[in-house]
Amino acid sequence: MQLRRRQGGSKESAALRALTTSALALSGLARVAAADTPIDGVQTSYSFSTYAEDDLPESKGVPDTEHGRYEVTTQQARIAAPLTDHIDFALEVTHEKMSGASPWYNVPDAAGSPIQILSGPTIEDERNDFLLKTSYYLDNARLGLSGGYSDENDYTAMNFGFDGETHFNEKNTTLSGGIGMSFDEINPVDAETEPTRPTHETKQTYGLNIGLAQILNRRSLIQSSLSYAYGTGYLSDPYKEVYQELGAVYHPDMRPDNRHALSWLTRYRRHIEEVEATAHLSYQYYWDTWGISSHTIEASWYQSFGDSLQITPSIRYYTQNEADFYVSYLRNTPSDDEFSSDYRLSTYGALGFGIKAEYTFRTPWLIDVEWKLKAAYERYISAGDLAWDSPSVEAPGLVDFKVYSFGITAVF
Amino acid sequence: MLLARHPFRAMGSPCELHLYGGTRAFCDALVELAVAEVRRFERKYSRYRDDSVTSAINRSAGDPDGLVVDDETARLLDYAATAFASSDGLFDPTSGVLRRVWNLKSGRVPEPSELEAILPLVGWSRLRWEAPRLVLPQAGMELDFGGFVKEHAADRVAELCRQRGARHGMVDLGGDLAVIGPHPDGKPWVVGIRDPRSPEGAMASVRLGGGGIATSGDYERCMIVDGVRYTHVLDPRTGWPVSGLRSVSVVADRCLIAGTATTIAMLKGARNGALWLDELGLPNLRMDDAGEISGTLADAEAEAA
Repeated sequence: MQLRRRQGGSKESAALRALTTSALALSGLARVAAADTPIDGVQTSYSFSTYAEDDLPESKGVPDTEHGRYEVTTQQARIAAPLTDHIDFALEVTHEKMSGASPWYNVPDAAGSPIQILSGPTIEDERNDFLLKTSYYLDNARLGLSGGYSDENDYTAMNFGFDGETHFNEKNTTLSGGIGMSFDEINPVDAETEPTRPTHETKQTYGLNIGLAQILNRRSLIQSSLSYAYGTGYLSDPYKEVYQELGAVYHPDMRPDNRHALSWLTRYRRHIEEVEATAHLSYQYYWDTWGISSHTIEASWYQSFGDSLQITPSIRYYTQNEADFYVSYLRNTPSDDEFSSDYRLSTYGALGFGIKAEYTFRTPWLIDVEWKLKAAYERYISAGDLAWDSPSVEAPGLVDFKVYSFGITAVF
Repeated sequence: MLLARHPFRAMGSPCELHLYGGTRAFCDALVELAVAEVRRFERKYSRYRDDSVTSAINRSAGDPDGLVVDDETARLLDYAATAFASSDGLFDPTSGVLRRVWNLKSGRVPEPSELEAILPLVGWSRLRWEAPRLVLPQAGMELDFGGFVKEHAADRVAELCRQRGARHGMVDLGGDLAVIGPHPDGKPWVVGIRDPRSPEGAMASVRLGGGGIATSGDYERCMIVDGVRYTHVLDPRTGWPVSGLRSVSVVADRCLIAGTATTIAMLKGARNGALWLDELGLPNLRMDDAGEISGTLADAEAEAA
């Protein structure tokens, strides 16, 4: 026998809706959009990932078959714990090892199409990053403070952030906002032998964001946020050059010394009870004063199998148009003093496919521990033709890559 | 999988936890946790304990500054406010004070003058609730969480068990039931609904794979004076016991909502209670004063038979 509900489809009475909303505020369910207490228990996690770019196809450049293109292995350890009833903290330590050849400049082939030249000496670098975050929880709000330090051979960065969120409308609405800043110092290697490289530069980045999340009903949530970022100082890439055909001149990468950027992100989440899944959809629009605008659309499907296993396939499409000063190479002495042949500033589109599996289990024996194992794979391909408006000339350095990652989390 | 059954007494009622787990240790740990959570609610909201939140609130009656309550209590009060507003003022946690004149053990019907004297102390709209501050402006006013905290506790305990990894089980707090999850083979729990006039017998059985069920009946506490049955279900507007329904059971996604729906239906009486339950669209079973059984669950039972 099946229980028959008389609420034919979506016709729920106003009284039941009001009671349900209020009852949900009493339970953990409403916390999807609201965090008002420190985390329970100590969370520790470790993750490992490898990022590997595909070799450059021979039609686009001269692949470095010995070392391959860029590769990064990342290890991250994180611990988060409550300190008091109102305060928690998290410490994150990241170690990255980078190696491989990366795009340097483009030269024209016999037909005038750009060919990517990769950096001659293979880059070999390590980066260490520390991030400390603390949150203070009030009755209906959270305030957060963070500080980070990142150090590599030729680069150091210090960053600070302050953010907060508050709930109202019976915790159905969450307003959040934050400010952040980063102070970076760049000391390029081989500046003595490479005439286009500066020896010491700095840059500063400031950011501001504001967001609103609204629980629409028991099953769905919408979030929207607006971010503004301002960067000033040396925003160029010291390891890139622009080739000038006339006279075979190599210019340093020269970008404007400031950039204002705006981005608007909207996310929608819907739980589909019948199949134990949650669909996530998001759209982001980005615009900056360098003339770049981009659109990102992403869809993920969080499928639960019972309560321990969750498998999440996702797909993402990205398209951008080039910066005002992007050139694949210069034919003549430039009249302007801003130019870059960084493929990331060109017109292109990209597709990303990912699949993630997460397995949760408990070992309640000696001490109760909840474990989470995660494995994920992502494939990303980019090409000029994938852009909404295909470019007249595709940047030869456009990258395809794969990422494998594994993680383990224990909550005590 | 093994099934642990743990009967215990709390909140003035017989309670039982039914829990499936892979190991005995897992079940034991969860039972301990669940019982502790029920006791926490009991301590926190008991009318009989001086150190409870309820007592602190009631002691503050008459103090124009009132008191500041914790977040959990605030959400319960928000819920009560919603239930009050959704029921035209019938669901009213301030009505407990009427027990001072309706002593069901005394076998005495109060004088109209006694009721007149006490009614000014009843009425959710008389108190001021601006989270987190609660003010009971009149000395003698009382707040009673008894009408909904047990149902909420059942939901909370079921949720807690699920958070701790339980998948199959049921929480029964004196007939207020919240399902953790169906039996391991996916079959629903079969819950008997007590016949109000023969408490040992069941008038119907309900299959429950999730959510909760609550039952409110006049058999719980009542007195009969000169052949008239006076129940513990008191109309906060008149101060008089209501009649019309002997028992109401409601199934909802949460036991709390089911419990609120039964209380409001009892207060609305046979006809209006039935109309209101239909409007809510929740599966329900009712027995009226004439012993007539109706409601969507009765129809389903009849169909299955």
